[in-house]
Amino acid sequence: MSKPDPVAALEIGTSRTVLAIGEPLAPGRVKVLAVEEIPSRGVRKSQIVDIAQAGLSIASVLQRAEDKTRYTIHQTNLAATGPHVRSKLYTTQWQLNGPEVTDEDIAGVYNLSIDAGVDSAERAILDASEMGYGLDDLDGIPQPKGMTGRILRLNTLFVHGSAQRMEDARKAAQYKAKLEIADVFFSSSRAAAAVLTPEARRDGALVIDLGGGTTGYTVWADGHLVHADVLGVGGDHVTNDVSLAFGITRSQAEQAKKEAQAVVGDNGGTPRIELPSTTPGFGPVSISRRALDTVVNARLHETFAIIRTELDRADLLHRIHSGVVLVGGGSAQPGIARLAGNVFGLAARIGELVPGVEGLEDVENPAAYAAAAGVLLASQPDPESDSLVKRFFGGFFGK
Amino acid sequence: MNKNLLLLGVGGAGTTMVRGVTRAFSSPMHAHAVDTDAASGSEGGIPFTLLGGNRLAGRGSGGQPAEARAAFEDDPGVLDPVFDGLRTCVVLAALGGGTGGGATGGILKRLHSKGVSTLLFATLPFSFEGADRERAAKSEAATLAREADVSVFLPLDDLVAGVDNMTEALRQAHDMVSSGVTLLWRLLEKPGYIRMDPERLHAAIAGAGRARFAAAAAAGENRVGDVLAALAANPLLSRSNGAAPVRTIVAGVLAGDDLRLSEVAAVASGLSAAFGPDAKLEIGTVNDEQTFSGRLAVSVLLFEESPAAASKPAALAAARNPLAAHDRFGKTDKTIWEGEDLDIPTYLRRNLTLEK
Repeated sequence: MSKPDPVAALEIGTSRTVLAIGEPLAPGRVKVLAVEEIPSRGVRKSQIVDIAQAGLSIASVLQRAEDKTRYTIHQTNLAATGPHVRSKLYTTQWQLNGPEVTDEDIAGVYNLSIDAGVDSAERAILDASEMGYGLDDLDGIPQPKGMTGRILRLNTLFVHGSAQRMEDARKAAQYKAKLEIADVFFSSSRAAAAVLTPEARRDGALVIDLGGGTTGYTVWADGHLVHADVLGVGGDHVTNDVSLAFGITRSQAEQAKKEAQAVVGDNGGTPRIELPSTTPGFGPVSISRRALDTVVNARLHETFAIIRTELDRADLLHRIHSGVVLVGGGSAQPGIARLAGNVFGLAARIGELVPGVEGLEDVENPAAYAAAAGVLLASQPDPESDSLVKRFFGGFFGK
Repeated sequence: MNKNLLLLGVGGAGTTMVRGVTRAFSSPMHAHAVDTDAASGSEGGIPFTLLGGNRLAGRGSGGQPAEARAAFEDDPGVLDPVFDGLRTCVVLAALGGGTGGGATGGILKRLHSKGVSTLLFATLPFSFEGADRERAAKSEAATLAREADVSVFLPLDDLVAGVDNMTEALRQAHDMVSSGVTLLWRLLEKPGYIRMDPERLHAAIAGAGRARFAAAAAAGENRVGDVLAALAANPLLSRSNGAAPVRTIVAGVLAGDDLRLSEVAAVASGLSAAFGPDAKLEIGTVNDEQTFSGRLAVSVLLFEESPAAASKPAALAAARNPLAAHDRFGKTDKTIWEGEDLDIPTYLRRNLTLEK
C-alpha cells in the first residue's frame, strides 16, 4: 500500500516563519514529519510589508523541512492571521421545498450562508462554523433532516480577513520557494482545533494564540467556534517595550524577555540580569529583574484585560467552563498561565496537542506549533469538523 | 553585621562622617571610606581605599572635582571587591569641590552597574563659603541625583545655625549627619518590636528619586510630642524649593526598654499627619536600653513622589523619542483600542515606576 501524499502547513508570523510537513494517517489524525522555523523578515503585526524578504524566509524554512523529510513540497496550506481578521455571525433563512427538510434544503441554506459570508470581494473567508439550525420557532437543532416545518435557518460564524493580505502571502510563497498556497485557514482557530478535545469545545473554552505580531483568540462553546478576533498586539510589542524601557537592542530585549516573569514578584532569580553585547557599538548591560517583570507584566496584563473586556461585552465569559488555553510562541513566557488565570478568573493552562497530532512529542513547547499542527489536521478533516469552508469552497485560491 | 548593606564615605568630609557613624554605632558595621587624600585614611578605624595614588600621590585633589573624577576613572574597578555581594549602599559625601563632588558620581555609576541600590546623603556648603562653591555644589547635586537611586541633599545652613567658627560649624554639621545616619543604621541592624530590615529600605529606594532626611530626640513625659514638633519644624523636612509630595515615609523609632507601643502608634500617626496622609508608612523600632535609656529618637526619610523620578528609564526613553515605539510599527496601521494607541509601550502609557 502506497504512503499518502504529504501535506504541508505554512505560518508566516511576525517573529518566525514555520513550515510543517505531515503525513495524514486518518481523518482527524496526522503524523508531523518535520516542523521547522526561522526568524521572519519583512513581516509586521502578522502582515507582510516586504514580499521579497518574507519570500526568502519561506524559501529557507521550506528547504530545511524538505531536507529533513526528503519530500519535495510544491503546495501548502497557509495559517493566516492579522489585525484585519474579524468574525461575524450570520443567520440565513431558506423556505423548504416541501413539508420536510431534505438534503437539498440543507445544501440550499448552506449556499445562502456562504453568499452572506462573502459579502465583499475584498474579504476572504478563513473559517466558518455552523452553529446549529432553526426550524420555524425551534432553535438549536443539530441535524434537521426529516423534520417538518416551513422556514429553515442556519446560524454560521464566519471568520474573514483581507483578501489583499492573503494575496501578499501567496506572492511571498511564490517569490523564491515557488510554493503554491492551496488553502488559507485562520491560524488561531486551527491552533485551537489542535489543542481542544471535543469535551473542552463542548464545555466552553477560550484559546488565546499569542503570536509575535498579534494575539488571536477564539471562544468555543457547545462544540462550536462561537467567536474569533485578533488584537494587533503581540510578542513583538513586548520586545519593543523592553527595548525602549532599558535602552537596549532588540536582540538583547528578546534575551531579557526569556528571563522575565509574567507575574511581578514571582521571579526568584538574581536581582539584576546581565545582558551581553549582541550588536557592535552596544555594550553589555545590567537591568533590574523586577523592572523587567514590570514592563512585561504591564503589556501582557493589558492584552488579557482587553480580551476579557471584549468577551464580557459579547456576553461570552459565562460560557467558558473548561478554562483558558494558551498557544503560540508567546505561551513560552514564564508565568503566563498564572497571569491569564488571574486576569480571567478561570483555570488557565498551556495548550497540549490532542492525541490526533503525532510526531511532536519531543518538541519543546509544542503549543508554539499548534497552528501548524491544526492546519495539517485540517488537510484531512474529521467528518465531525465544524468547518464549512472545506466542504464548499475547495480552497481559497482554488475557487 | 549585614554584609549586603554598606556605608561608604567619599572624600574627606564623607570619611569623617562615616567615622562618626562607626564610633556612635558602637557595634561592628560594614563601612568603608575612599579619598584622594591619604591623610583621611591615616586615622584608621575603618577600611580605606586611596583613589588615584599614581596620579595624585595621596595628596588629595586640591579641591578640584575634575582631578578627583579622573583619579577614580584611572581605576574604576578599584572598589569592586568592596562592592561584591552588596544589595544597598548608603553613600556619604560633601559637595562643592574636591573628592566628594568629583568622584562620587563615578562611584554611584559603578554601584549601579553592579545592581546595587544607592542612597546618597550629600551635604551642600554653607552659604558663607561663597557663590562659586555653592554653584559647583548645585551642579554636582544635579548630576548625582541622576546617578543615585535616592539622593538626600542636606544644606549645611539648615543643619547648623548661630555658630561663627567655621571649623566648629563643620564639625557640628558632620556630627548631625553622622547621628542621623547612625539612627538609620541602628534601625536597620538592631532588633526591635518592628524590624526594619535592609530589604524594606531597598524596596523603598527602588524607583524613588529625591528624599528628605532628619532626626530628632527627646526625653520626658511628652517625648513623643516634643520629637514630632521638632521634626515638623526641621527645615530639612520642610516642603520647599519645589519639593514633591511624599510617596513613602520610612521612619525609625529608637528608645530604651521603656518604649511603649502606644508611643510608636502616636509617632506613626503624627508623621503621617505632618508629612503625607496619603503616603505609605514604613516604620521600624529599635530597643537599645544602653544608648537610649529614657530617651526617644525618631529618624525620618521622606521619599518624594517626583515625576522626574517616576521612572528613570521610562522617562529617558520617552524623552529620547516619545514616538519611538512607532518606528517598529510604522509600516502598519496603528492598534487603537478605546482611544489608546497600543503600539506605545504600556509602561509609558500607565506611567509605571521602574526600578533602576
